[in-house]
Amino acid sequence: MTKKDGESPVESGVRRMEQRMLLYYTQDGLWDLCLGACVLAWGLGIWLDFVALHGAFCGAAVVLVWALKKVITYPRAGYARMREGGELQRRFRKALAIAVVLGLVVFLLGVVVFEGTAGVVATVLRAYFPVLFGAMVAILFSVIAAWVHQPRFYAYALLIFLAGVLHQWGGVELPLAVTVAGTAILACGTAVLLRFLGNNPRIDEGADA
Amino acid sequence: MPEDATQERVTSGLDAVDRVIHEPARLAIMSRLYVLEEADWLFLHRQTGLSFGNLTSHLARLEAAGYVVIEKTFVDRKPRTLVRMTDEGRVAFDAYRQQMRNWLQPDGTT
Repeated sequence: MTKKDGESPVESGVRRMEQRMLLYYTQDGLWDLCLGACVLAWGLGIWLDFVALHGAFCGAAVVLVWALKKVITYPRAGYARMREGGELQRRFRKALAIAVVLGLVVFLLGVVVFEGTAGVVATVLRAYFPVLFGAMVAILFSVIAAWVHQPRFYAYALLIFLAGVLHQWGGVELPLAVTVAGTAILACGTAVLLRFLGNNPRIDEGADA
Repeated sequence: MPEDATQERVTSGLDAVDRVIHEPARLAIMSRLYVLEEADWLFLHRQTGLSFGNLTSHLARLEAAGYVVIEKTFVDRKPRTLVRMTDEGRVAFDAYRQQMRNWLQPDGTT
């Protein structure tokens, strides 16, 4: 993080604290695993024809992350909650709003493509659906990356986009490209989780370090 | 400039600084709590690197000044200490930020 011109050390310190709080929310790798599992399920869903259940699976994965936070993260890194109406929460809500809009765009894209809508736009969308869909998901991941200041989420966005590009112009089967991307994200998330577990042993309150 | 005059210029404006917050360990605690709604004791220990004894004594000092509230509970029969910055603490920290901003102005005015 760069120090803004004319900003006192106390001000830059407060901004640094906000950034460290964001790091706190992603340091355990659980959200990486959630994203990886959703992408992998998407790839496997196309392959094994259960893509309709993908939404339910992603919802369950998010619930599982919250549950695992209580078991894995809080006993090791402690518990903290964002300030109501604070800068962090404002940024979180902005990122969430962008994510919802992108989700709606992806949904409408799917409706246009799969409902057999006629017209030039629908034809173009149908022709470039994999790469457009990959781009939308990549933008979604980039929004998350920008919010949490974690470069690895940009790498995930690139992986998703590449999956679409490889299918569109590289002749690679879409399920294979997406499954590989999901597996790579899962592997990275696992590495982050293992590093977190190694660096943060459980500590009971009251036992001096 | 005579040494005394330099010393005076350096310290003028700092006399009014809240020394409860100005102490480095307590500043570390306050700057974290400032951006949060609440945090537990383990989180503050991990974030500040303070030993448990140090953290406890500095939190007690901040609590005595009315800047934080400490709530002790039990979760699964284990003690859990939640710390929250009070409105008074937030006002005091804002005032401290303003004082430091004024004091550290690039033109040297205090």
